[in-house]
This record gives sequence, C-alpha cells and structure tokens, in this order.
Amino acid sequence: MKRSNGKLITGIAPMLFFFSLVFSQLSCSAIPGNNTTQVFGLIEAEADNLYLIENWLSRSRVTYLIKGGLAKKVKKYNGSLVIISGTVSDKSTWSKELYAAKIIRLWEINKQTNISGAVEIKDSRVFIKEMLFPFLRKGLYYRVTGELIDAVSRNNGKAIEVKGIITQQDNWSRIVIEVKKIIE
Amino acid sequence: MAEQAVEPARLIFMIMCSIDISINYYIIKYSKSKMVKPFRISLSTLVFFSLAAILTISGCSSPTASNGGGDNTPVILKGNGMPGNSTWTIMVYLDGDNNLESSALDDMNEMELVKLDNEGVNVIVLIDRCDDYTTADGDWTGTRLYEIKADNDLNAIKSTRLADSTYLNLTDTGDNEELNMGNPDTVIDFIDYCRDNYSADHYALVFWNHGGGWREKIIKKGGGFSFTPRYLGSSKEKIPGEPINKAVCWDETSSNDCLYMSEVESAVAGKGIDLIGFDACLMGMVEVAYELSGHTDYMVASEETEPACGWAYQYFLYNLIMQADNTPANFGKAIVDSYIDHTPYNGITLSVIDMAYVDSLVTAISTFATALSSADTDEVCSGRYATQYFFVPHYIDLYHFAGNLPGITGSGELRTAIDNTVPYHRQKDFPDSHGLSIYYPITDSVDSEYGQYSSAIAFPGASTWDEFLVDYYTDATYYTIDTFPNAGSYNADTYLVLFTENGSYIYEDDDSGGSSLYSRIMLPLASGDTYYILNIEIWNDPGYYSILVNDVGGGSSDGNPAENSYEPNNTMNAATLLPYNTVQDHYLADNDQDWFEVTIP
Repeated sequence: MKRSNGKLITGIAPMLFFFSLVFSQLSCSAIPGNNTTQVFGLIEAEADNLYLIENWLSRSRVTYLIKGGLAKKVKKYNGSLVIISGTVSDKSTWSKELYAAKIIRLWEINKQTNISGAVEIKDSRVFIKEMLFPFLRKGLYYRVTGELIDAVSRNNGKAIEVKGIITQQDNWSRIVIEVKKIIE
Repeated sequence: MAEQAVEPARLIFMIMCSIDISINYYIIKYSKSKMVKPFRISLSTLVFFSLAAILTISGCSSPTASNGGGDNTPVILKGNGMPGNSTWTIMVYLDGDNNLESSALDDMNEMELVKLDNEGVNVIVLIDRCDDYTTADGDWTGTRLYEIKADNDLNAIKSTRLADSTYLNLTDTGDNEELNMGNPDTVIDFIDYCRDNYSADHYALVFWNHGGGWREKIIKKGGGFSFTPRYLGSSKEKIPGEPINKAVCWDETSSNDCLYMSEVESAVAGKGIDLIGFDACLMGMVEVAYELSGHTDYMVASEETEPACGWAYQYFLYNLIMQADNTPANFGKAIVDSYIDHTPYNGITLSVIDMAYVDSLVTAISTFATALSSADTDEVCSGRYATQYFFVPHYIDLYHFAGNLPGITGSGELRTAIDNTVPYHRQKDFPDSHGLSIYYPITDSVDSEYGQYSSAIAFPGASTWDEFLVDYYTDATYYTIDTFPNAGSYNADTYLVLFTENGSYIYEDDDSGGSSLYSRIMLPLASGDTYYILNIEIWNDPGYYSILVNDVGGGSSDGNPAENSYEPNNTMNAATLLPYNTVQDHYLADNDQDWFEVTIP
C-alpha cells in the first residue's frame, strides 16, 4: 500500500503535479475507495473505452476501465504493457474501474528501456527474470538477444541491470530484449 | 484410456487434414491478437496440402480453402460423410456476459469452422453478450440460441439462429432478450430444449466462462443482519466483506449472478449427460468432481487457469465427426489433446475425470486425511509447501501432495485412486500436476472463504479432509515474518514474499504489519526447513526497515541501520543469511529487492 506519511514535498513542480492530480480526479463524479494501488497489465482500446487488462492472457483476466484525467494520455499506449497507480472500484467480480493517477512503468515495443533482474540460462537461452510489483509469482522473463548476450550470460545467477530494445511475441506472452548496454 | 481405433484410410486422411488445420489454427490464433501481425502462409502451401488430402483418399471430402485466398482465410473442416458409431448433441453454455465477451465470440467462430451436417453431431450454443468490452459482430447484446453451421468468417457468427417458446423463451430475431446465465434454471431450460429438439445417443454440456472452483452459494441464516450484496442477484447472499470468486459463469448484466457448485449440480441432476466440460479456469478439483458425480459419466476440467482463447473447438469437433469410436471417454480425450497440442501458451492443464471412480477416490482421501491428522505437522507442512499449487495458491495437486508424503498411511492407495479417476491428463509446464486439485488453504486465516468450506459443498461432509485441515491448523506451529521501523530516518514501504528452499512461492503480504508500510506473514513453517524471503520495493520510495523471523512476532530495531545504498542481496542466490529470532536492519533502495534466507530451528 502506498505510504501515507511520506516525505515533505517541496518545490513548485511537485505541487503543480499534486493539484493537477487532485483536479483531474475531481472531474469524476465520485472516487470510490481511498486506497491507491498499482495494476500491471495490457492496455487495450475498444471503441471509446480504454481498458487495462490484468492477466491478459488468461480466462481469469480482470478488466479495468481506465477513468480519470490520465486516461487520454494512456490511450496512445494501446497495445503496451503498463503499471498504473490509482484507485480501484468494483464494477463486478471481473471488471473494475481504475481512476488512474500515474503511469509507474511502461513497456513499449521497439522502445529502449532499462530492466533489472537475475540472469537465468534455460535450454541454452539467456533470460533476465525481473521481480515486479504488482508481484508476479514466477517473475517477468525477458529473453536476451543481441551482441551482448555472452556478456549477460556470464552473470548467470546474479543481479544485472541492462538497457535494451524490447519486442514481444504472441500477445506479450514472450518478451525479448536486445541488450544494448550492461549497466554496472 | 484405450487408444482410438481408426481405420487406416481414415487415419491417413486425418493426418493430412491435421497438417492443414494446424496451419489454419495458427492463422486463427495469431489473427485474433490485435498486437501481432497475422501469420501468413503461401497459397501454394495450402494448395499442396489440400490436394494431397484429396488425392490420398478418393471419395472423401477435404478441408477446402474457401475464397481461394490461402492466406488469412480459414478452411472449413469437412467430415467424410460417415458418422461415428454414436450420435452426439453438444450443448455449449457460452456465457459471454462479462469481460470475456470477445473470447466468447472467438470460440463460437471456431466452432463454425467444422461442417457438421450429416455427421451425427449437433452443436447447440446458448450465447449471452453484454454492453461493454467489444463492439464486434454488430455489437448485439442479449442472449441468443444457435445451431452451429459451417462458416469461415471469423468476425461474424452465421450459424442458424433458433427460437424456443417452450423453455428459454427466446425468439430468433430479438436483439435484447436477456437470460441470466448465473441462474441454474437457465441451464435446466437449455438442457431440456436441446434434449427435446436434438435427440442423440450422447450428450455433452460445456460451461464456458470464468471459473473459480469449489464454492457453493452461501445462504444467510436468519438474524438481524440486513446486508444487501451489491453485485449478487437477490437469490444469492454472501458473507459481507468476503470475495466471491469460487464459482462458474458470471453474468454481468444480471447483477453479476453466477453458478455455484450446488446450482450446477441441481441443474444437471437426472439430465442424462454423458460428459460435462468446464471451459473455465480452476474447475479440475476433487470438490467439483464429487459434486457432479452420479450426474454424468465424465468431466473435463483444468486444474490451472486457462488462456483466454480456451479450448480448441474446431479440432475436437472435427475429431468427433471423424472418429468411428466416438465414445464419451474418447471425446473427452480429444478435447484434452486438442487443447494441449494447439494452445500456443505454456502453463496449461486439462484432464478427463471418470466419475465412476470418484466415490472410491473420496474413500482413499479420507484414509489418507485421517492418517495426516495424527502425523508430524512439520512433515505435513514441508509436504504441503513442496506441492504443486495453482493460480489460486490454496489449490494444490492432490497426487503430488500424496507423493510428497510417501510415509503417510494411504499415500500410495490415494495415488492409485487418482490414477483410476483420471484416465487422461496432459499439461504444458506443469509437470507435477496430475489432473485433480484439492483445497488446502495456506492457513485457515488467509483465505477468507475457508470458513464456508465444510458447509458449502458436499465433499467435506463425505470425507475427513476438512477434519484434517482443522487438526493441521490447530497443531501446527505458527511463525511470523515481520518488518518494522528501524533507526533510519525514513521508513520503507515493505512487501514480503515467502518461498520454499526450492524457490516455490508460498505467500505474500503488503501491509499486515501495520502503518500501511510494514508487512507480516504468519504461517505454519516446518522445523528444520529453510525458506527464502523477498522484500521488494514497490513505490519508488526508498527507506529503512527491520526484519525478524520468530514464533511470537514483534521485535525492535537494534539501532544500526544499513548503508543508504543497494545491498548485494538482489537475487535468491545472493540472499542475506537471516538468523532465526535475530533482528536485522536494512535499507530498501529505489527499485531494490532484498532476499533473505532463514532456517527454522
């Protein structure tokens, strides 16, 4: 759960952000609940609605209708994976509404990104296993490609941070990262 | 289960056609994904396989590439005009009135890829849609009744729409006729309609939707409490504050009503259904099988969740029309094979359950459970955490659990009973699944539905499994893993995850330690066993914390905060040794994770 006794916020920019957040949420008629949480899933646009699909590959998927001022900004990330923080209200067992406050993290195809995790080698393939929050029991696996694959593999079993270009296969069931740089 | 007897000529034809359908299956699956460029194959490849099939078996019809397109256009699968030994009516209870609406349309379009005319197989679908989620196929809403007819347009349902004024009160033209798919009366009406209008030697009923497992409807027992559930129909009542996620077939338009297991049981009782399938998650449970035993001969269900795409309908329907020995057992096997062979994802399971053996299985479970009650709780605890679990971690594979406790009386007999009850099971990336899961919550306090277990379904009353669970939680020694403030100037927001020594997940916690910052995991742990603890930074909000593992909880910082930097314990292999009952102070940096290793004395 997000802390409630945070550091003293100083400076104009954070205050502006804070007020913009408040006003964007006040534009909704009601914000049920007061607990901020994070949701990890796939952004999917359907007609005029924008959804965040948690467990998007699964029959046990949970669909969040993205609401609030951030929804318009999120729309351009249709087809990307994201972690979004916000408040959630139940619409039904499997469908909820997410009053989005902030994009915590974004996975876009063919975009450069940093990932950090443990190197694993399975069936002669090199992976980086990232432990995310919201927590995924088996972690998020990236198959490593590119000229630095040998350098990455030498870190087998160790934590590593890399910069690279990510692509996906089969509706993000497999994520590939072409490592461009190993960050010490 | 006996292998299918297939004539040689028919076999050759099936192999050739299978190659062709395989190609088309992947076209279909990949085309469904909005994020993936449709997979394409050359026209010549399709023509080659189609011609090969035609030339191989003269007189047999073959799958044909309609429209001559040969790229994204799927082939309609045709039989050979020789119906199998038995006629079948397949009833598909296709509940798309929720966030799976799009997948419901996809699966019905898959069914339409098989030409069923004159093959002795009827597929009747009751499909329900809702307002949101997809505008596909004209964005119609409401409930419709169809007889599946062949069509290779994957974007539109073109089967024959049916009217029924006797049971379901549906016209064949209405746009908003809404039935409550969470009402067992709808199931009964659907079955009665199909049996009256599509008489066959065998009947199968498929429940299509979300699935959660064992739970039954909770009936409020009097009293002055006036809680009105927000999302349940008036016929359902729930315990306030507790999640409802163990059932099947949710109907969002009908107040999110759903079918609990007793409702499924009452709906199918006496209907003469040969096979009941759950194209839904997590229904491959002992508790579900026991609820339906006596009402059907076979059950097909998955221990694990299913992908959104679900079963491979065109494959097993095609198998059904091509197979001479189309018994319920062989039909179930075809459903399993098609699902495992043609689902492009790992982490799936599916089983055929022979309901004739379920009573014997329950007897074997009771013998084993009684022995467990008097066994050493440390041994049972170790066995429990080492057992294959599923998406709901309170569901474990029963065969694997028994195998982890070979010294307990009845372990071997139980595994034999499971082998008899599960004649066919396959999996991908679940090597320790064997076809049936059972409810074994991690503790009685962490699954809010545990309190209903013994009263909600028939299985606990018929076995001693629930008595064993009570004994286990009474006898086991509980340990706490706590985080709390340390001497640092700024406190971390901790998130704890507990793993076995082999890295198998046990449990996680965010804020049970208080202050919306600290975590507490309180569980039975086994003396002598080693566990791994992960503390993960979740809000890009670094800070200090202390951690302690003992059997009483609490503790306080020793006043020596760690360095304000990353520690080297960022992987399980590099876990910090955490002595039992000894406070350690640490720092959780931005995007940091701290791993600990602790051995219970």
